[in-house]
Amino acid sequence: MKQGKRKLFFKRVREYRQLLLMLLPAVIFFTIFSYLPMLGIGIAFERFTFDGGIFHSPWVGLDNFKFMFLSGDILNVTKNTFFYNILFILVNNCLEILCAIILAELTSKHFKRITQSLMFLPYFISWVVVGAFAYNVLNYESGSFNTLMEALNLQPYDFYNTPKIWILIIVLVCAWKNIGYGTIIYLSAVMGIDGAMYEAAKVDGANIFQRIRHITLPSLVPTIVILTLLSLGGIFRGDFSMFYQVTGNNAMLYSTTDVIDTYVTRSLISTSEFGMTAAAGLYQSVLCFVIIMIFNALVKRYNKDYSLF
Amino acid sequence: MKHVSRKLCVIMAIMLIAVMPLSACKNSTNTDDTSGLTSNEAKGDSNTENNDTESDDGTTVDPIQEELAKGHVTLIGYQFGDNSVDHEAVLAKLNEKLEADINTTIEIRGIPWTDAETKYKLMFASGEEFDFCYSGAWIGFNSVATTNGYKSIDLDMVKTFAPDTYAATSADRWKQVTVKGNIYGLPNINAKIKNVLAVFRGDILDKYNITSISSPDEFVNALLKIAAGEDELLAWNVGNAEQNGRMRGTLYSQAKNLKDVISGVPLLSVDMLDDSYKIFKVYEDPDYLKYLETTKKLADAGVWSKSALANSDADENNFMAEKSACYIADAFDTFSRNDATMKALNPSYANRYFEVNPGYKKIPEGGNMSMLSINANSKYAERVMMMFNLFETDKSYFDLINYGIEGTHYEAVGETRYNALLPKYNDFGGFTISWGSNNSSLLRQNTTVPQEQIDAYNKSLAEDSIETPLATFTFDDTNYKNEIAAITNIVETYMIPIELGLTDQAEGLEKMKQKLETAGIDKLLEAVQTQLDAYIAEYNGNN
Amino acid sequence: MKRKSASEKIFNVIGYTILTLLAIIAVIPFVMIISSSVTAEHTILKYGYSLIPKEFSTQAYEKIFGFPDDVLRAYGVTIFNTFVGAVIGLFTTAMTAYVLSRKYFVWRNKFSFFFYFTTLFSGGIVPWYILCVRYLNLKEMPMIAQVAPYLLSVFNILIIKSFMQSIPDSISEAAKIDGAGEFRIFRQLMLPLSKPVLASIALFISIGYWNDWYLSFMFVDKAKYYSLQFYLYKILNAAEALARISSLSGHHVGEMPKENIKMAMAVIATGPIILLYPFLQKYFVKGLTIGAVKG
Repeated sequence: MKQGKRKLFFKRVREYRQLLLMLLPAVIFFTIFSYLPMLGIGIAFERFTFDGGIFHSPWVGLDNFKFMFLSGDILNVTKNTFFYNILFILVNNCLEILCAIILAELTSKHFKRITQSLMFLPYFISWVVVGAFAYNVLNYESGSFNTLMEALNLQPYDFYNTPKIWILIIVLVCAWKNIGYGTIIYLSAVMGIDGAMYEAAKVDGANIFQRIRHITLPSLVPTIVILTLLSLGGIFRGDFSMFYQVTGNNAMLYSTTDVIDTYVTRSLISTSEFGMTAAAGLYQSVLCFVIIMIFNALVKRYNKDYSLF
Repeated sequence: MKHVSRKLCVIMAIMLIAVMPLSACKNSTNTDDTSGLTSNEAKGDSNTENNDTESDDGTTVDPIQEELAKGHVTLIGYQFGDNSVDHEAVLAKLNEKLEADINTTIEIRGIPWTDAETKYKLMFASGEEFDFCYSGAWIGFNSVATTNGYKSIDLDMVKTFAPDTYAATSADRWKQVTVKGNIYGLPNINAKIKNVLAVFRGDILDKYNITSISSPDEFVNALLKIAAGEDELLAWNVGNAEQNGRMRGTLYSQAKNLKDVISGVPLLSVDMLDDSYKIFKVYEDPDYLKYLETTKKLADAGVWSKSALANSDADENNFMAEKSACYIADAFDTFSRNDATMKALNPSYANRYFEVNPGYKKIPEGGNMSMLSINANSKYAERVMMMFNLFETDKSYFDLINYGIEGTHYEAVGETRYNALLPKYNDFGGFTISWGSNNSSLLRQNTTVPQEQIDAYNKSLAEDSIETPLATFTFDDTNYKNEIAAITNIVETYMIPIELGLTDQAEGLEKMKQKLETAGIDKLLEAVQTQLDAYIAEYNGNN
Repeated sequence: MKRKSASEKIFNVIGYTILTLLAIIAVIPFVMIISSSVTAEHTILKYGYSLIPKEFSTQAYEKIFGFPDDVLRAYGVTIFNTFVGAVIGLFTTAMTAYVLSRKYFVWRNKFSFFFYFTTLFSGGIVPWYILCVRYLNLKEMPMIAQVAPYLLSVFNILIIKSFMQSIPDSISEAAKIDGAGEFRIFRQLMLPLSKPVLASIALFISIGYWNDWYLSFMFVDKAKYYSLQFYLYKILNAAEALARISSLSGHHVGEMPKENIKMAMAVIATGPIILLYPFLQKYFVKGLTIGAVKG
């Protein structure tokens, strides 16, 4: 029995030798740059010293994790991170699909090319600059928004003292910055759809909305699923510079804008401990791991080909 | 399924094989490191070598000559920040001098400010080869020292290779850079004494007939007057944690001569003049509550922006950009470095300096605030010390690394003053490496600073500086890192908005107290008090 | 030309409106960046950013190109990184994706998991840095150090994999029956068929390298190997950190970087990628569709 299995294994290796050879570069790459450093997860349980390194520093158990839980804010912060990411996934994907479909269907070549390029521009604006712009527009005394309100004889709006409005601002800013990028993936997926299907539908008299509804959208499902799964894999990670820069690290907005990454960074300003940073990262990894295992299993049950692994 | 585990085993095995040589390497470098690290031992060895040569020759060989005879050495040093104005030219000149004097040249590498702390520690973690670097308590000196990143310094060696430094540095200074029994830095000879002044635009003050500001009340009134009269201009720009700290200092702690016992945690303070050294929580002090009332008044009057918290601009920049009428500056740096630049860029300002809390007690900065440290794996500790000796005690070197090339960047005026040439172009930030080898007795002041100002400044330093064990006490936070992290977070989250008067202060204060208690402020207080008491006892015993 | 049906007309109206709006929202801040980059420094500090420069000045560009050698060298380094990284990276990514998309490869999920797992857990920066510097010696090889660590991304692999899965099996099966090896099927059939997705991933990889400052920050000491973004980064991000550190240390650390230079650098850095993008766009329009192959 055992021997049979071994035989099967070697038979498969022979059978797949070309495929395995083609995988080899990637396997080596990830072994070196990801799996070897992964041994460093151990730092999360150590008081790291330079001479002890990863392998010989004193072991402190779970002590490095404690700081996150001491003041009782971690729950709120974790929740924020989770819900922001859910919103990003929903809003960004919807907008990206919409844009991709429109871009694919419109006929004016120049218009398409130009808008597509323009929509990509925000991706290149760093968060620092976005934050500076936001402050320029939103600050109470001299921001352009309130200057306008003043000119119209309306009440000025105190953005930096109104935490709730920032959920909207952050979601919009995130969409604005990333739409160009995401649209391209969907656009290439639309381009991969068999043109004959559209021709057949046209012959059958389907109008453009029906063609989108019955051909384009279903064909995009695998892409939607895979992009969503990939985003879910980072659902407990917040883009530090986005949250930090766009809000100007404003303490009055923390109730709605604080995510795990900003929270941890702020905690470790005065005691930058490698172990504590690693502990926070591990906390996020474990949560993400749980989520992705659940959703991947669900997707797998629905359609094996759509799952990540 | 069993197939899978088999394959996993194979993968694991491959990984293990790949890892094993790694960890083996690791071990071997470790042993190397430790032998280098317990440098007393290593030092002992080289001493015996020296003695050997001496006894062989039968004559005493000057160890400096002997060291120089080993030939030319290039030292690699790390500084923070980008290169200063005309870095290359100054460095070339510096190397010319070093080459002639101690047969050494230096190569300076910079760590960009952003992520400086991370990169600084990674340098040590990776075992990179370099010889010396800037170090300071604020950039993780203690944690690098306790984790054995620096070479421990042998005083005998300092005496031999940096004799002038050794002679001029007091025993206390060495004590201040000692961590767990070992010296890990070469401290500045003279402690810099931090003295903050309020800088006001003279033209604005004249507009409101404000002639003198010599108490917090007068300061507050001046701000209120300016805020009421000026539309385009904020009276004062505060916002981020540091600006906030300066505000707390000016309006609260200075008047009471308070000092924070843990740097970065402005909650636990002690009265410098009270011999019992009893630590208290500032937010339980009635005067702190009065201070909050004041800031509320200032905030409501629009002295700073309602959006102040989101404004990350430095207050000095806001001041220079005609956005605010005042900022709090460190006199030491302003007078000796950028006064000429500020005046050249905005001649109409007619800056005026005021001590808001005259007579408040100043304490010398601890030796561990600014140092040069030697990397644990450097092979040229002797040369670093020889170089340091020149930087810190030789005026020609000191002038060069602080003010640049004479005739191009500055013009010496007597021994204590200088004329800034091209002030718009060069603000005399100096090589940051020069911070590590500062010596305030060699410092020059800008000729743009009026003599009365300097006299007043010197007088206040002379009369109001006090010696206190608090100056050199550092809290050993090894077992309290979690509490400090949680509390730092609370300070940023609650304390700053409360102090800026932008939220409901009473409610915020209540919430902050609650959070602090759950985060373990009392436990921390107790621990600091215990350590401080022990430190004071030891200090008193020694003196 | 066929007459447009009513539904197509409606779709066009909606489509043009939405895209125009989005394009405007995207372009306004960028216009502000360009405008600020040619505005005098004190005007920005005092009045903030605006769509039309309040006081025109080319001082920022003059300062940046005041050291033309440095900027040009940085451009050179970045172009090299981008080109080499994109070519090697794209090919390897596609090859890996091809294998993972083969339905008859029974270990495909195990390998997918092997790759995906690396996005969930990481040892953090310390061990990665130690490995790169101490064992791989990347600091001694600045040109390799700025390319190698970013060659492959799991995200890109899985996107291409998903695209290749949607290509009907019949095409590669036919080739297999004709005796073609895996590598040949990959190179001669699947690569051309995947042009649209390859174009987008090529763009992503290029942008990644073009915008990278981190690898320079970590591994490059010598200014002549600085990548463009690192050269810019040092100026861009310094202001805030400077302010913080200046007060922490009590040392005066010199003048802050200038606002208009920040903006000018953003313009300079994005320029070329905007030029590359239209070139790649032709693959989205003309890309070989499966229908064309089958037909």
